Amino acid sequence: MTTLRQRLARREYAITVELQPPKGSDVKRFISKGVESKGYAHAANVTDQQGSVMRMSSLAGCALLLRSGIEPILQVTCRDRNRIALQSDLLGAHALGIENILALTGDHTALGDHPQARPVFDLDAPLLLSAASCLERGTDLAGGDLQGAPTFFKGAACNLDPQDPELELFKMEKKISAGAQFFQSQAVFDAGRARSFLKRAGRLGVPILLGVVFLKSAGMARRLESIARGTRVPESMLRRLETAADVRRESLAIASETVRDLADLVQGLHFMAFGWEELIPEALQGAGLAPTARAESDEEVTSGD
Amino acid sequence: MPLMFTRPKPLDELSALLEERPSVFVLGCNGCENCFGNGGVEGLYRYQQTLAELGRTVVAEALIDLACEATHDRLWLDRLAPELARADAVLVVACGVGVQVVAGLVDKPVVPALDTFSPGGRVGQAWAFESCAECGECLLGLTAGICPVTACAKGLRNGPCGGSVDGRCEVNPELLSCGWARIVERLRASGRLDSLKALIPAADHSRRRPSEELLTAIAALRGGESGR
Repeated sequence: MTTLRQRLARREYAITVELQPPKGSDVKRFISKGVESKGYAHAANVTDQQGSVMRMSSLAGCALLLRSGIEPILQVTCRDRNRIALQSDLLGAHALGIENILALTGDHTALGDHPQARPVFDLDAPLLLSAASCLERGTDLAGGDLQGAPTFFKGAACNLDPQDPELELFKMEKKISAGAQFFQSQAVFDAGRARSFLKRAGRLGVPILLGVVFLKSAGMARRLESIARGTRVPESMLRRLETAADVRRESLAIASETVRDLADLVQGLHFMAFGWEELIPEALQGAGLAPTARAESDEEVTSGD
Repeated sequence: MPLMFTRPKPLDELSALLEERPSVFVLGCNGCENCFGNGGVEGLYRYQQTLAELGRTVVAEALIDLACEATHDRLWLDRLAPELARADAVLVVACGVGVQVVAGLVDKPVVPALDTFSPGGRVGQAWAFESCAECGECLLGLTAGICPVTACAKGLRNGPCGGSVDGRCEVNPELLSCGWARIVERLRASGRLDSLKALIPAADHSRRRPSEELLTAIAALRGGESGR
């Protein structure tokens, strides 16, 4: 059983961080970020060519992290692979000792650096979750028997500040019935609205990790709304960043406040730091959460089952 | 040659789509050479029988010259408004284009009687206006008469992705609406939003392919050459 799964099952707080594999073959920086993450996080997500920008595969990234003793979460999107390739990658992941997965639909290819590429979307996030559940039961999507059934800890994405809360809840319910066992949310900036949504989403009975992004500038915050669509940054926050003497400090303060306001309603935090990973320990401290998460339960990263 | 190729939807699928919908208004299409042999007067008779076998009541039926033309549909839908009001669903015996046009005119659940498939090769159709992908397993009965295969840039089957904001698509928010946002709006208006909780299975791409019979017919037209 993975540390992430174990902690969430025991209702212990879980900290995760998102890491991007390199665009190229040099993995030194990626691995050193991973090694640093052991100081504050229980597991690291490896993105699957986020924003449809071509990079090294998430599967390879996860295997590299695992070798360095970091528990990986394999992000899998439906953008580039049909159901044959997706099932095949999931079986391969399990064989390599990767059990945590985050099933995503994925951005459209038109948004990335290869707009000429064919968008696949043979499955979508709920169907990918149900494909993973199907493999766990020992059969593939076509009903064929498997030689050995894998086990996964299956995650999905959610938006805690949705434009249409009723619809978001339906989507979450659909993902849960397809097999989702935990959620990692998009970044939240309006703690008030997220609070009222979390009170409803909490009743679904599946642990939710709150998404945290450090806003690097007011400009980045505005871009975020168009890049990570569905993210909403309040005007008041933009003003704080614009008038701040030290933007890093202000950004850290904003993140810590949001975390503190919502900590009691979530079961963990998911950092998407975009290069500012070194701020994470401070953000945890600022929110009253010790950044020694790993030290307190330095369990061995499991491989296999 | 007909423009759109259709075949009757499997009976179990049709029966599921008409569950808890005892009274059915049937709308047939007389276009495209009687809808590839599945429409016209004979099509209406056939579905009268099918519905009787499924234990449904036909409240009224109409044969439209071209179901894909809203003006033609309106002529009959207005004339039969009282009957339509009593119906629990509208069964449309037409291609995917016809079903979607009808669904835009009535505020009842619309059920496609046929699956529209592709003989392969398209001529003169702009992607931006495509409404039926001829996928061979019509979803319109589950998606409020708007096709997610064509109206969603990703062809998603289980609701909008995170890129849907203000009802616009992430691919080009200025020019493209989010098809799923439109489906959600229509389902919500008719109190059927919770139907979104059910998982729509992955596409069966083998149903896109033309049948052996059609391939044989096309080969015969070409003097025995299939061309593939």
